Amino acid sequence: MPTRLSSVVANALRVDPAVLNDTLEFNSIPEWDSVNHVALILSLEETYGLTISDDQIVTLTRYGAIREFIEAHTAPVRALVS
Amino acid sequence: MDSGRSLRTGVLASAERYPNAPAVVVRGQTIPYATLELRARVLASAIVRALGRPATRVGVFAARSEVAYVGTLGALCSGAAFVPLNPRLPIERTRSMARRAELDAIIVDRDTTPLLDAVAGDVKVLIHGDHPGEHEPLSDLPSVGPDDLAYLLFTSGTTGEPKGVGITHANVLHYLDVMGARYGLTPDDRCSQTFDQTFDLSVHDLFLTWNAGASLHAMAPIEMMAPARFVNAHGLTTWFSVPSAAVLARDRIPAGSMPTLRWSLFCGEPLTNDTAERWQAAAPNSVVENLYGPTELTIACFAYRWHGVAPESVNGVVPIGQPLHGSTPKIVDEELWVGGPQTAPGYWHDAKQTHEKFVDGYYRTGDRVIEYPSGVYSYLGRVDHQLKILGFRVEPAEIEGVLRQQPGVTGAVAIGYPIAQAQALGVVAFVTGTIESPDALRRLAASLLPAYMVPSKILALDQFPLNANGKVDRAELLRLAAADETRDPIPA
Repeated sequence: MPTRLSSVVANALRVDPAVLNDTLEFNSIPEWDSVNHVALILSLEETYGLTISDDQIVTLTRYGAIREFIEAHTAPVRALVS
Repeated sequence: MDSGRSLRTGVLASAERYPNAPAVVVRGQTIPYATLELRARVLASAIVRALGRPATRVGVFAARSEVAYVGTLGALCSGAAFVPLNPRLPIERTRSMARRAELDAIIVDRDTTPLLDAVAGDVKVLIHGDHPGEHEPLSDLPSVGPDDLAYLLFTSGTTGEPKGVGITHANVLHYLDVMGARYGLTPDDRCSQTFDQTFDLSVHDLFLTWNAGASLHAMAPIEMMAPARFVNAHGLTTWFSVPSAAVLARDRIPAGSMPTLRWSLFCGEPLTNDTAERWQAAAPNSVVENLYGPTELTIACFAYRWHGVAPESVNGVVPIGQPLHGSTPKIVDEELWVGGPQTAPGYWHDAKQTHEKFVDGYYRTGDRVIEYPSGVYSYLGRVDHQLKILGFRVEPAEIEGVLRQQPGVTGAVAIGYPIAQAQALGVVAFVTGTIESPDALRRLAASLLPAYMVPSKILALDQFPLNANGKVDRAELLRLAAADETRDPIPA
């Protein structure tokens, strides 16, 4: 069952969520090119209400790093709401 | 000692004048000029000794690593033309290039060492650029003539495989002389290195920078997503990239964000007025220029200086401007032909295509242009179906050739899709025949073609739509691609 994040990433990269794993990285498959990477960053910003800085964008090159980044930046919001 | 002037001469002169100045900054490491020269001479020594003679062509199988830069100069110091090979391309394609280039040697770095066996084929001399062994640096460099090749690159071909373009020392020295005078770089300049070395625009980066004793700052592909961050971190004074880099980063280059730049150069595909305007605002202290030129005409042969939207602008695109000194253009049935000292001698081992494209000292660009009374030229489009995707030259015929070789496929047509700001962002292919799985076909194509040439989608048709002239109706295929997109929406 795809998670919310894997659906967002798979949609932006136009791949099957099943191909996503923590080691998958930018430029390692034809679909994860610079055009789709820009779409991915915009999609993450919109979905999670984040602003991703220039310093952060250059570190978000692996699915695992994106997953950890989203977990770190969304957890406190949930805590506040509950 | 170096007899006669060639592409390496300017770098070696800079190494003598500015031995401790930074020549390259790559992956956090700084290589001073003296080290660049020393390591290049050691590599050249290893090659020449192994061969027992000067080299003719040396592959540099490395990307954005110390070896990619040291190896390029090392190949030139061994007397050879350098042949860049890119680990990001499918291995089969790289092996084919290495074979067709008839390499004397291949230089690899740590990243490409594991791939060496798959690429080397019959190449006997294999050099590990990071640890080439104990060799005295080569002091007497093999002589090189003006008509010898300085580099050999492969570009997308219409016959189903990449074609080689060899550029002579005379070709590239002319370019560097013209641009050296135009931009007047000094040892204080800090220049971007955005282009893959399999792209000839990287030759401008390396050698214009090194001739001036300036420093070259290699960007990782991901760093291209945030240009202002890199420009400011490195204090860059010169930027050179494909316009797509600026288009993709358009939301990350606010006005005034790159104040250190004094030159902003774009080449490789049409630059739109909108992109030029936005970049100019972001880099207000820089002069923005649009350069134009196919590989066959040595990097660039036209230039236009941006001063706001030009009266000669066509389709929202910045003009290609006026010919650089020495290049002689003429327009034949709307097609731009260019002669002069930068026109390559022809295609590598391909007399037929050389005969077709190089006519009476002119290269037929395949680009349709208009010359205005002001002397400014503007780009109108192609005479054929060639595409530029993120600045990469793509012949749909090459993609179609790969698809047609697969079992069950009887016909294939590739088109640029989607189109944004008059530029194709990718490729969609249509096939006819007995296609069991278009997706499997796509995966097969991905193993044979560079990522930017792999169709994002392959759609099977019973037959191709034809226009009134009985030719494949590409406009209708574009509509079919768009219609398919709406049937398969990206979930919100």
